[in-house]
Amino acid sequence: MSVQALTRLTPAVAAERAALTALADAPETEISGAPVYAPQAAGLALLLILASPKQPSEPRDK
Amino acid sequence: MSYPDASPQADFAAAAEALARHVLGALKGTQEPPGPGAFLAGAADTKAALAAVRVLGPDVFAPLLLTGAPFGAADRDAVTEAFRVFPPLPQDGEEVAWRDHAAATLLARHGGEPPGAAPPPVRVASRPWREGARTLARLAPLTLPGLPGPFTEPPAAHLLTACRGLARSLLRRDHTTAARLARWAALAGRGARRPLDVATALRHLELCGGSGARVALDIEIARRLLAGREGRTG
Repeated sequence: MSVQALTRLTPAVAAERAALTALADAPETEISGAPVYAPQAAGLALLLILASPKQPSEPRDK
Repeated sequence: MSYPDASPQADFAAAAEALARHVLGALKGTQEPPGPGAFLAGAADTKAALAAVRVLGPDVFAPLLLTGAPFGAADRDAVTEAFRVFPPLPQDGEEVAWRDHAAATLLARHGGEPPGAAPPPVRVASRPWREGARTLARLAPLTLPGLPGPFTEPPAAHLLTACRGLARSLLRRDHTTAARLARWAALAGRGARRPLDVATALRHLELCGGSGARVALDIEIARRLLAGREGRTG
C-alpha cells in the first residue's frame, strides 16, 4: 500500500514532535506522592509549645 | 484575558485522553464504530487526533487483539496518516523505537507498509530493578498479544522486576506507572506464581488511580491479560 495523504497536514515540526515524545514516553513521576515521615515536624511542634506565651491569669477582684 | 498556549502539548494530551476513552469504550463494546478511523473523523483538531494515535501507539489495536473488534480500511488509513504526519525519528529512544515498530507491525498485518528492521533488543535483565521497571513501564503497549517481544528473554524473566516496580509505584502513588507495570505483571506471570496480587493492585488503582482515561485503559488491558492467565495469582 502506498502512503497516501488522508489529510492536507504537513509533517510535524520540532515542537510538535517534542510534545508527542513527552506524552508517549512519559517517565515515572519525579516526586513521590506518598506521605513521608518528617521528624523535623515533631521538633517544630515542641518548639511552638515551649515558646508559647504563658496562660493568662484571671483578674483579681478588688 | 487568556493567552494562547504556544506548546501543542496540552492539545495533544487532551486528544490522547479522548482517544484512550474511545479505545476503552471499544474494549468494553460501547464504542461504535470502534477503530481510530471513527475517532479521527469526529475530531475537531485533526493534527491533535493524529498525535493521539501516535501517543497510544499499539494500544489503538487493543480492541482488535483482545476482543476481535473490526479494524477496517478507515482505521488503517488513520494510523498510516499518523505515521506520515508524525514519522519516527532516528534519535528516538529504544522504548519509543520498539513501540513504533510494534504499531507498524500491526499496521502491516492490516494492509499497511511492511515495517522496517526491528530495533536492537532491550536489555532489562542486566539492569538494576528500578531502572528495569522504568523501562518496562515505557514498553507497556508491547504487552498486547501477538506482538514481537523487545527482549532476548521471555517476558516471564521480568516478572519479579515488574512486581517490584508495581509495588514501588503504588507506594509512591505514581498511578500511571503502576498501571503500566500491572500490564507486565499480568503478562509475565502467566503460568507462574506471582509475588504480588495483581488483581488487588488493579482494584486499588481503579479506586484510587484518578479519572485519567489512559490509566483506565491500562487497567482494563491488564485486567484482560490477567483474565487470560493459566497460572495462579499469589
